[in-house]
Amino acid sequence: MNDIKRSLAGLGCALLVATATVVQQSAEQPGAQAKQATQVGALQLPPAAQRTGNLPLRDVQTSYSPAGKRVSPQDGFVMQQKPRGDTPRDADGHPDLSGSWGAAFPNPIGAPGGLRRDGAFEADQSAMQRGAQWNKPIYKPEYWEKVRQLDYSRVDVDPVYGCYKPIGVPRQNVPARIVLKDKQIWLQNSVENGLRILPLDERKRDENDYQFSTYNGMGLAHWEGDTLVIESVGFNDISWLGWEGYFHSDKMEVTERFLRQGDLLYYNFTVKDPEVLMEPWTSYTYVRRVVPNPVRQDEAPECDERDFKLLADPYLRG
Amino acid sequence: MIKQFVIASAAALALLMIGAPARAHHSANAEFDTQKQFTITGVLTKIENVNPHSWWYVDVKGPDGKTQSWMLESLSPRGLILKGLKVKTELHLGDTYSFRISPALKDPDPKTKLGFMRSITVNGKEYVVIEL
Repeated sequence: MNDIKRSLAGLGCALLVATATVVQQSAEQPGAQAKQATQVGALQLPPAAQRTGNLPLRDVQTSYSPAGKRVSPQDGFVMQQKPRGDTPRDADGHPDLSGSWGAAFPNPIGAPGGLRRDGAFEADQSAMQRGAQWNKPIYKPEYWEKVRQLDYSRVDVDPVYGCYKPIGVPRQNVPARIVLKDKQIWLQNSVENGLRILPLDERKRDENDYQFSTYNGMGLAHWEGDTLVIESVGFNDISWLGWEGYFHSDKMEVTERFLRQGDLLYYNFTVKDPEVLMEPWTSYTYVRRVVPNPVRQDEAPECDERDFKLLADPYLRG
Repeated sequence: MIKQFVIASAAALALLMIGAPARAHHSANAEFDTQKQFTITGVLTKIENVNPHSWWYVDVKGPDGKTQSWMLESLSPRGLILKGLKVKTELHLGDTYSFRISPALKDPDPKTKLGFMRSITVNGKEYVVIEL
């Protein structure tokens, strides 16, 4: 019922603004079209959502703060997703993060053949994606050339290139499935080595954890209010933080945050690596919606690297 | 049907047994002279911190000034950590450490000597890895 009321109110609001636009357009003759375009653009977001401060998990200390009301495409997209329904809670009162978490959101620029022309991005896809990155880890100056080298080298410098290569935390991003039960949390990413099982019993960090060299880190989970926080140490220096050549040292520490609101799961992570980064880097906030009828997860067929040379440009990633 | 199964099982078992000695978790006594033990001191040049056993590479300078390369087999990465060894924060490639070892019955090649690491001394503290 509330949903209907809300959408009715939204519709009324849109109608009001549309009328105002028409009045304005008829009042000003020259340059009116440009102005109208701006207003229509602004209409797509409710006014309250035009600052990243409204983004869940965005109260984390970071130097990433877009100037003024400009919102990165990634954050803008997340802000447009509205939670539906109540947040289920476990016996302790914490949000129950259990569920299958999917990213099957409607494409903001429509299906292929609409705004997005077929094949429009493919020719220089990585160049486009680099240009769209508003939030990058700040490396120490002596590593800038290394990042660039890794980014623009052959595809096989990427540690996930090939078969059975773990992606690791945090590059594997939001888990596809979560089970929260019996003071444990199971987090499963559908990638190689993608399962983490962490106790949720307020235990302390084992000092030995720092000596491990792992892809997923030695995780320690706890609640901060409604947010589940997983702090991980003991990483190797093989995995990357992203495809753009974002390497890290084996002294890296990662903090992941999970916040459930209704049927949405918000996720971000902070990477602390004083060996190579100037300052801790906090990722975008990512969003997933619960999948009400999850499909069976099938065993992956055997992987064969025979065709890799044909599938990817062997010379350049860029 | 049952007969077929028995034959198949027997064949599978035979295959397994052929493969077994190479795959088995080998006994230290088969490869190393565990009755002998002595200490070598040298520069750590490389650690392969892999399962099932880690491999340590040490260059030991002899009294004649010549360098002898040693390759030491040790515990699994997790095993080493559980022994209290700070593999990431206290051990550094290029630094000198002492190892109490048992030598191999047969060296892998004329240039390299093979041994089993019984203990390692880091910053004056001896970490007993395994008592054979």
